[in-house]
Amino acid sequence: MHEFLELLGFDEKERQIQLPRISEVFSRLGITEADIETAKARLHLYFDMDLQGVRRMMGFLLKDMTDTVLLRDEGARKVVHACMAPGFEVLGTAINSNSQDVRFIYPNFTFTAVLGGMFGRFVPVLEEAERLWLRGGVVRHCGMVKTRVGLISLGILPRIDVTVTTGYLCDTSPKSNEIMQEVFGISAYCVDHVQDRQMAEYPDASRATVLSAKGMRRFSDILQKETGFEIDDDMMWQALEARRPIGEAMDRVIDVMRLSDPAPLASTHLNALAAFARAPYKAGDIPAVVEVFDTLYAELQERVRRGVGVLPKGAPRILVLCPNHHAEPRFEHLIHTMGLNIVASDFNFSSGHDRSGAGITDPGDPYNVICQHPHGTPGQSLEGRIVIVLDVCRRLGIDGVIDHYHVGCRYMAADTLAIRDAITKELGIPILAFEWDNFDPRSYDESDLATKLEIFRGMMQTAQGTVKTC
Amino acid sequence: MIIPELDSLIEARLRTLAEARAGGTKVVGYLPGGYVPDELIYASGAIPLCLIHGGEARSAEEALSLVPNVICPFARAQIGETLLRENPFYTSLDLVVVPTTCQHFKQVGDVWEHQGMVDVFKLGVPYDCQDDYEVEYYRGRLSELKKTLEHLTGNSITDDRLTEAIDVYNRLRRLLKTLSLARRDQQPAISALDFVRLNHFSMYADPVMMGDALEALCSSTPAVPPLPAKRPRVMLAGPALGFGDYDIINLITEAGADVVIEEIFEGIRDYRHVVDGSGDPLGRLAWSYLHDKKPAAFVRGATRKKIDFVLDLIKEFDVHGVLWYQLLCCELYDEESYLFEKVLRERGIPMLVVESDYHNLAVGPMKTRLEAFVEILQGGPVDA
Repeated sequence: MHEFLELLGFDEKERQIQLPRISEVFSRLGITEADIETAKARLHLYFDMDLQGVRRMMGFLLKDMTDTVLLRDEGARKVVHACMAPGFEVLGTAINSNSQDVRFIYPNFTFTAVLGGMFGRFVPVLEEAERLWLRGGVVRHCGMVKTRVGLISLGILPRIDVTVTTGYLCDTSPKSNEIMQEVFGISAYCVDHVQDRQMAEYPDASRATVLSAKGMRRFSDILQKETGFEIDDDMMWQALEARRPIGEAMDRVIDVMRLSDPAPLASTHLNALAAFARAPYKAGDIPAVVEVFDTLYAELQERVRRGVGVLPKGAPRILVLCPNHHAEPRFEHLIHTMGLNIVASDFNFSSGHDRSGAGITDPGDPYNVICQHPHGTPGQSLEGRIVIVLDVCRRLGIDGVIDHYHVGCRYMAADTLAIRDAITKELGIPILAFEWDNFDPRSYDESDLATKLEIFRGMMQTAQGTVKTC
Repeated sequence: MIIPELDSLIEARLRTLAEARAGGTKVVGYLPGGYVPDELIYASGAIPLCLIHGGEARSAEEALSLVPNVICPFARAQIGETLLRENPFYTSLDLVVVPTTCQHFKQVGDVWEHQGMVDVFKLGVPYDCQDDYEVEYYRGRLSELKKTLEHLTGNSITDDRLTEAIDVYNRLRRLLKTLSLARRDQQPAISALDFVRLNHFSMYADPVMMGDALEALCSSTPAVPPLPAKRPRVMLAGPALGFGDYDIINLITEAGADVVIEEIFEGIRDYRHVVDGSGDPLGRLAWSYLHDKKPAAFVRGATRKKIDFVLDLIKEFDVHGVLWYQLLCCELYDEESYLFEKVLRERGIPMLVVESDYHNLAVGPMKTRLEAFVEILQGGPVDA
């Protein structure tokens, strides 16, 4: 265990503090010595453990999982849980920074990265949800919602008082809310906007942002009644400001990965980076998070300066549609070994109105400032998403697109054929589209995927010349 | 068959549609579910058509060139009908109103817009109605729709015209409700298939003529013998029942039970609510359509209310079992089925979940399942 924690960037002092806590959590989750050995092997295979920034990032994720599991043991009186709720990490930071005993958790990404990506032990969580109302088979329910239900049903998460989700892109999670309320007795709430934008309105999303902000404010009021803790606007502003450096630091890392040739870091890390940035940290913990990003950035810059890459210079540049796999890095690893460089996901982009501030309709309302997600690619209508994807392909010099559409998300999956046609007609670059679940490791079928990728690579070779392999 | 002339009425409706269009009248289609007020379209002078065809594998498959098969077959059928260009109800449209009631419908609107097949108005329906701002949002979207319709038709939708249209549709809903309630009788005079077909026809028909026909029907003695007594009485529940998607009703009837009440989201006109009150008619529409009715499955917090409503209907219509007819990849109803089955089981009410993708419903295994279900409703298999 000492060796494992050292690998994850914990120094001697931290190891002394964290060892008993992490041991307790491993005991509760049934993680054995053999699992730890598996995790070490997976970390070395899929992640760049030579980099201190990567080691510490994985350590932070493990610590976040530990903190979550032990919340009740360590004094939390009320636990608020969020899933599929962009922007709610700010609310989480506001609560966690100001309340002594109300804790806000946003655990899905941490648990998929740790239990899945690190330990390769995620399937039982999904199977638990399938045993209940998110059955497997042709209905193809979303693995993200299964993660939510499975973690709660298995008792991996501490007892939850309030759970919140959003219906921005989803019907499954809001419906699971109601069933969880009935079956588990958890107070469950949903925040929504409405997906009724016409293409002629693009990039305006003000109807959606305003509705979403009102819903989020209403949820804050509900939390006051449920937990007795009042969240005021000053706390929200402070949380927004506190979290800003996380986004900026992550952007620096992402930019150096995206813009450097040869690529300085494998795409297997993209999911972990996003999970690391998303946790609802206390404001006081954020400088340490930013420091990890900055360490990684400096290490990557050093590689760039020396011309060192993890792929040959000129490796084909790939845009993926939907994020990288949350619970299983094998696919990104397979792509990497085939010499292909995933430089970004369309989920990283937007119409630009969120970043420029043009989408904010009420600068005096922190909830309006937070609720800018409808400008992001996933929050667009089909036409809006196509506009952004085509623009990103042109700007980043993309050689090919992989649309591994998350089948449980009807909102995303249904766009596939139209996007494929638009990319083919407008850009003439290859696009490989196939169905998978972004949270389910069982989606990975190596022989099937390798065959598809070989064909895809061949199409790019035809279009562009020889592709180098690792 | 209680109204043998329904087919000829459909043909007549198609003729009048063609004539009306030739004369410059606009035709406005909309997707079902009870969140697009026909009243607004009718008051603009346009002809409202609820797009309700479903049940055929061919049209659902046709859409697979544009959307993957995780979109439900009813939603795909709407795209497929516009692609096939064979169904006059789908080729006569000047505008389609798409309510954002589920991800599948949202995608139908996006695809229609992307392909430029037909002009689309996306009608945002808030998923909740706890607060005034949600009703106000919906009212705002209705107001935008009103402007769009006025621009399309060149007619002004005055309060008087809208009030008149509300009266027309209130009458239609009341008459359908009267017919439906008549099925509380142990020997109902109208079969489920007839009721569903009447309901579907009301979505295509001129509402005044349909009202007259229903009034005549309600006041007349049925010309057909009542259904046989002592057969199990079944509720048909599910997300959608398209025009033509009748195999499930025929199969359960052949298996020996009768559907006496439906709790269907898309495909049965929501005849249980009326647009009440006085004053601003647009505000009355918004309140009535969003707030003042039984919530559909997509509405947040609807599940418990739906369960209570279904339990009330079971009691009111003396239902012995629930036939849950869901469409493939409909995540909302698939999730709900777990809870409904649990709640009904606790009350000793059997529920059978049947899933359709519009392929071969009327084949052996399904018949066997339905026969077994009816046997259970009758007190269990003989050899049990």
